[in-house]
Amino acid sequence: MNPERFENLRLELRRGCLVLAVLAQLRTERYGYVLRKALVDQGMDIDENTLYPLLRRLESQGLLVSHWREQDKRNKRFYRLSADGEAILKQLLDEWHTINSSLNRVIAESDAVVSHGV
Amino acid sequence: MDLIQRYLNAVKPLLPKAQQDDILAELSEDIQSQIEDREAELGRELDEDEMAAIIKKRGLPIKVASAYLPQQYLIGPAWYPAYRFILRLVMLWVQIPVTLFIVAPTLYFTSPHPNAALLDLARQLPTVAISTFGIITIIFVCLERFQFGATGRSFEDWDPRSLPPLMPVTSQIQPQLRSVAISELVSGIVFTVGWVYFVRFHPSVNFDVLQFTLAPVWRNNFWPILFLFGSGIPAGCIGLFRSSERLHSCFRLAIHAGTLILTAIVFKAGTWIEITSPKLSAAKVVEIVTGYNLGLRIAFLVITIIVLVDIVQEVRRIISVKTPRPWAANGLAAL
Repeated sequence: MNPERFENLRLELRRGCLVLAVLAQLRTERYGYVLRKALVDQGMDIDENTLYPLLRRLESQGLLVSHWREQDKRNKRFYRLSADGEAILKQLLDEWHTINSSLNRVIAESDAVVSHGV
Repeated sequence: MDLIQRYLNAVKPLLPKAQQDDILAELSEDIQSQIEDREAELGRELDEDEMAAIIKKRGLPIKVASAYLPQQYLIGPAWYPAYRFILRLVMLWVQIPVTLFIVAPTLYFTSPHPNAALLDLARQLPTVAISTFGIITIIFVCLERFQFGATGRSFEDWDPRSLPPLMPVTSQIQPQLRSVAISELVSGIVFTVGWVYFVRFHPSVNFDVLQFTLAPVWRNNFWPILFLFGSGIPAGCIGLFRSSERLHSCFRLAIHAGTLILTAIVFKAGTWIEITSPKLSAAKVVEIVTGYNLGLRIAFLVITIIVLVDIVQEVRRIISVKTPRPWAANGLAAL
C-alpha cells in the first residue's frame, strides 16, 4: 500500500468533517488554543496551521464572529458561531446524517455481496 | 521568548499586509499558550531546545504563512489548454523549423565565417527559446489577469445541445479538430496567393549582393502546384463546416497524393534556386547555390516524411470507423 496515497485520501475525507467539527464546537465561545485542545480530546486531531486559517475563512464567510478579550493577563481572540453559522450548521448536520446513513447502507450492501460471493 | 519573536518576524513579511498584525497576535498567543501548558506539565520553565522544538513543530515560516494566502495561479484552467497549445505550436512547429531550415542555412551561406555564425546561433537559441516562452506566458497571464474567459463565457454557460452531432456508425470517422480545418483553409489561401504573386509577378528577388531566381522547374509546373495549393481551400471549408468527414478525409488523401507526386517531379530537377551576384566571385556563387539547393533537398525529404506520416494517420482515422468506442451512444446501443 502506498502510505502517501492513503494520507492524501485521508486528508480529503477529513477536510469537510473538520469544518463540521469546528462549527459544532463553536456553539460555545472559545479561543483557538482551547478549541484545538477540545477537538483533539474528542479524537479530531487538527494542525494549528489548518485550524487558524480555517477559522478566518469561516469568519470571512459570516459563519463565525470573533473578538479580542483579555484572559489570564493575555489578549486572546474568541470565536463563536454567528446566527448564519447556526443555520448552516443545522443544514450541514442534516446533510451529514443523510450521507452517513447512505454510506452505511452502501457499505452493508457491498459487505453482504462480498460475503455471499465468498 | 527571543526565539518566538524571531519566528514571528520571519512569518510577518510573508502574510497578507492587511492581516499581518492580527494573524501574528493570534499566532503568538497560541505558541505562548502551548509553552505555558508544557511548562505546567513539566513544573519548570522550558529551555531553549524545548522551545525550539515547539516552534519547529509549527513548520517553516513560509508554510505557516502560505495557509493564510489565497490560492493563486498565473494561468487558470480556462486559458491553460490554449496556452499549452500555442506554446507547443510556436516552439516546436515554428521556431525549430524556421531555425533549422531558414535561419541556419541563410547564416551558413551568407556569413563570411559560417561556422562561427552557426556557433553564435546555437548560443543564442536558449535565450530565444526562453524569451518566446516568457512572451507567450506573459500574454496568457494578462488574459487571465484581465478576466477574459477562454471563450468569453463562464464554465457554467454552455449547452450540451451545441456539441457536434454524432455521425451514423457506418460512416463515423473521428472528426478532425476545427483548428486543423482552419489551418488548411488559411494556408490554402496564403500559399495560393503567394504562389501566384512570386512565380507570376516576382520570380526574382534581390538581396544585398545576391539575386535569387526560381529555377525553370517551378514555372514549368506552375498550374499543377497552383491547383495543389488551391485545393487546401475547399478541403478546409469541408472540414470547417463538417459537411462530410469521409469527403474531408478523401480530399486530404488526394492532396497528400498530389503533394508526393509533385514533390517527386520537382525533386528530380536537382536545382530549384538560381543565384547570380554582380559582386561575388563565380566560385562563391556556385558554393552558395549548392548550399541553398542542399537545404531545399533536405526540406523536400522532410516534406515527404511529414506527408507520409499524415497519410498513415488519415488512413488510420478512416479504418477506425469500423470499431465504434464502447462508451459512444451508438456503441452502447449495440451492446
